[in-house]
Amino acid sequence: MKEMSDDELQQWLDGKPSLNGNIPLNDDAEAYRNLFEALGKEPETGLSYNFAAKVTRKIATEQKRNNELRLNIIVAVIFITVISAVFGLFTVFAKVNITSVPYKWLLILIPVIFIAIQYFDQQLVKPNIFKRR
Amino acid sequence: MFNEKEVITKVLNGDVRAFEALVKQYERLVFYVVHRLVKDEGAVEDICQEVFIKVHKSLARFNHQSKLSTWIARIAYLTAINYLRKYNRAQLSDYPEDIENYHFTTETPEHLLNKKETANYVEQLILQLPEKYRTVLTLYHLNEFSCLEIEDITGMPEGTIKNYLFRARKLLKEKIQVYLKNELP
Repeated sequence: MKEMSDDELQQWLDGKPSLNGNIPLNDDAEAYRNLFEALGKEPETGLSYNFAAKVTRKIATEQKRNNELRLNIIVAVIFITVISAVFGLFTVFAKVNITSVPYKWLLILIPVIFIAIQYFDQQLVKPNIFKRR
Repeated sequence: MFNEKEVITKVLNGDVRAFEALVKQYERLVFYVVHRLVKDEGAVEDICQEVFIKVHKSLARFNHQSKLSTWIARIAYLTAINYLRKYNRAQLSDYPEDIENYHFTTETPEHLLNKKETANYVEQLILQLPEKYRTVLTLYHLNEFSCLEIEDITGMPEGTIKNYLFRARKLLKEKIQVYLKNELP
């Protein structure tokens, strides 16, 4: 039988009908047969058994954090709008000068601090609690 | 049975269980690609995780023009390459002109004593090949993608892929011949 080239042997092992059913029996063919078998062998190591659950949990946590961030932004926007509207209405209808309202900075500061605490709690404190577990 | 379209629709509607099923379906595919490209065992699982997070984020943009497996394999390939570019440039090598004379450090396989370990020996040789050869061999033989699908995944032309496959297999065949001769009595 005619010796086959490397290209023909590789095609034969790839399952391409280039050899009209002839089975080559030489060192090259044997080495290629071993090689193809080894190339198709799965690695002995793998991902952890609960990999899918871990990924899903991570995605769910990220989604929750994004939703909370979105909520915080909405709350902040509403707060700024309400404060501006209240001050605007006072100025227009009650003819009150905003600068003369007592404790005005305290009134603004309290909600701002509250929202900031909520934000940092979600961004810094909760993720670290999960990391420690 | 895994119904690709149904699962995608469910995931896009926020079904977390459906995404878990998707991960289970493709985790081996992603692992094979990342494992062969990134030699740092400790980083492999993190990279696989990053791949699936990217899949989840961009699934809405999947246009069904290719198979989902091809699309996921492309994300895995690009994520692994980005990791190598960022942390381990030494593993990224350009096309070597003289691959036939490629030097393997495992030139003495005497420590692998029986024939059952041919696969381990081949695995060691593959890990020493340049990144493009490793990718093509893995996608073709382990993930069973066609050359056209590998073109979609890696962006390499089909002719180049065939050439890489042929040359890498010929080189490995020669190494195996030497190995088998040394090993057999």
